[in-house]
Amino acid sequence: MNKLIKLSDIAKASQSLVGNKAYRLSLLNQAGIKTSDFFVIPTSITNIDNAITQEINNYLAVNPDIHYAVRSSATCEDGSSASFAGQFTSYLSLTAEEVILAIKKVWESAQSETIKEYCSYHNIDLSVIKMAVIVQQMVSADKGGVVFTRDVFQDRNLIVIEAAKGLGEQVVSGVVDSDKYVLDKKQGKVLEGVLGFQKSILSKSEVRQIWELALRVEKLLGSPQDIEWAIQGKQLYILQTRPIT
Amino acid sequence: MYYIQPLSQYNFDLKAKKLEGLARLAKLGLPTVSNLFVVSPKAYKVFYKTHKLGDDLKYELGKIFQSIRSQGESVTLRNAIYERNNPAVAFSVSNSPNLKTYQEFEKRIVAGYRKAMRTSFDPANLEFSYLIQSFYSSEKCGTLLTTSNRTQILLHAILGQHTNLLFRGDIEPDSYVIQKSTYKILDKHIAEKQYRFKKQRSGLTKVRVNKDEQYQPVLTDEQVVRIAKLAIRAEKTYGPQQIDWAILDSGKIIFQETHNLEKPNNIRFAEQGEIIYPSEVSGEVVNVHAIPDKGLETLKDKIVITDNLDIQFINKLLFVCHPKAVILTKGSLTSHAATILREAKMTTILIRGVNLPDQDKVKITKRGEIVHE
Repeated sequence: MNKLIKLSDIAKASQSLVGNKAYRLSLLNQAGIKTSDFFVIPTSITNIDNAITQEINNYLAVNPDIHYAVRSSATCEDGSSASFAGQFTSYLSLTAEEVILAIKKVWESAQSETIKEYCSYHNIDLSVIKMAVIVQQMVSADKGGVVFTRDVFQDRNLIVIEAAKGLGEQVVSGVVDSDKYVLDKKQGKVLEGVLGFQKSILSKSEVRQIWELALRVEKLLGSPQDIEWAIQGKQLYILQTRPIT
Repeated sequence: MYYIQPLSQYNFDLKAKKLEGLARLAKLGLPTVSNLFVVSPKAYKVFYKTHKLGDDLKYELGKIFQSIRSQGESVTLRNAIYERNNPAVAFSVSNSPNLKTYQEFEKRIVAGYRKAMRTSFDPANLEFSYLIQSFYSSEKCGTLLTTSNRTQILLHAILGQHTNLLFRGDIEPDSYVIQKSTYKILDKHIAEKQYRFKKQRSGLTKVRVNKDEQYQPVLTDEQVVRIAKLAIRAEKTYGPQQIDWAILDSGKIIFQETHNLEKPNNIRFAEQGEIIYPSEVSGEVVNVHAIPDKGLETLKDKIVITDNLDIQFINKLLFVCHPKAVILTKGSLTSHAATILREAKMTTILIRGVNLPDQDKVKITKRGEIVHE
């Protein structure tokens, strides 16, 4: 298939065509969980000819004023033992004109030295990796972060939320010191953290909202998840999710 | 004056810890109890020999007493006593708060001298200093350790005026952990409050806390940060301190006492980190911000401290340099770098702002502590 795949059509496509990240996001979308809208350049497309360029531009022309994120969705990505977290390059806050170049750069990042080292360490055959690319509408996030639905750090039955002002990308790239909230998984009670502080990034109701949604995502996907989220106004979005490694 | 001097100008050999701490605060200009004066041990020596205060001392005492009373304040009398040849033997007799008449003030001074002379110590060898100060009352007080570890401040707060209740374990305090480099409150625990202790004429009285106050924090976050910032000023000059603080009824923060925070050599000093991948390793630390062009092998089996969470750097560090453990000084537990390090089963902890010199020998424990060896 040499056509772009819209979010609403991913359910009809195979996982090997859209990559793991896009596939999981579509499952959430089907279950009514709010994800930012996106389309996928499938693994079957490996270079951008005029026809593909035209097709991409047609999609982007629908909402000319918004910004986009371009992310990898490789077939190897987000596995249960090797997450590839941060290994492929993502590009954020792009204008429509910048999207095509970013797609090419995401493909290039699959051949980088750093991926070779990572694959070699984890005994993964680089040649079998196929790369789909997600072009996602940017959420203009007031707050963003990550939620782990299992406390991998101390092996307790807890949920850990980390939050920063603005994009959650700042949390995963480690450029900001985030606020951390540790919750009892069953009841959602905050056990540790800065909740209630004047400068707490999240309010009580936002923590509860993230907790409830994180449990839904975990149940839906069948394993503990590492979820990137964003809040714009009162709306909570899931930007990506992967099994916790 | 011959016998009495303002504490901030007191240049005697200060072996009495209580006086030393307050003198430090006064000399740094930190907010502390007002009207601090020391009655030197010379006055005690006169009393020991003559069993009288003497006219000169009475004149000086009267002058100080009147000057405090003229400010509309009553007087508190405290004391610090130690054996001349053995300053480690230090004690005090009971304090006298809220004195309003000179007669009562003088009576208490005499009573204190007499009491010290009746102890089992040789009265001729005692160095007895009185501390005269304004009486104050406060509804909130607590203690603060400027170095609960090297990067954090620990603060405890209770309702009432008596920090010694904290040490006796009579009251569960609110507790705060504050990051030293940014003054960010990292963690707080608000205790359920049943009682406060109030000073009344009959002594210390246990008073039930109103229901609406039971779950309220003793301090606002702004007050926590203000106290922490003042405390760090003391630490910068005198090293790690344990400080007793209070908030006066007027809202003013004061430091009641400060002591050096002792760190005996036989106690291992631990810094608590957040666990990314736990295991116990020992080794030599090396600070690395970027992968060096040459000498990658020098990082092998070292405990690498870094603030660089860039994935290319982390990959190179993990898969090429093979360190023994990693200490991240920045970022979060859910960062991509943390995920990659955990997947590779690399012993890793996160301690924001930690600062250890190269070649320091440390152990990382399974609980995520750094212990200095």
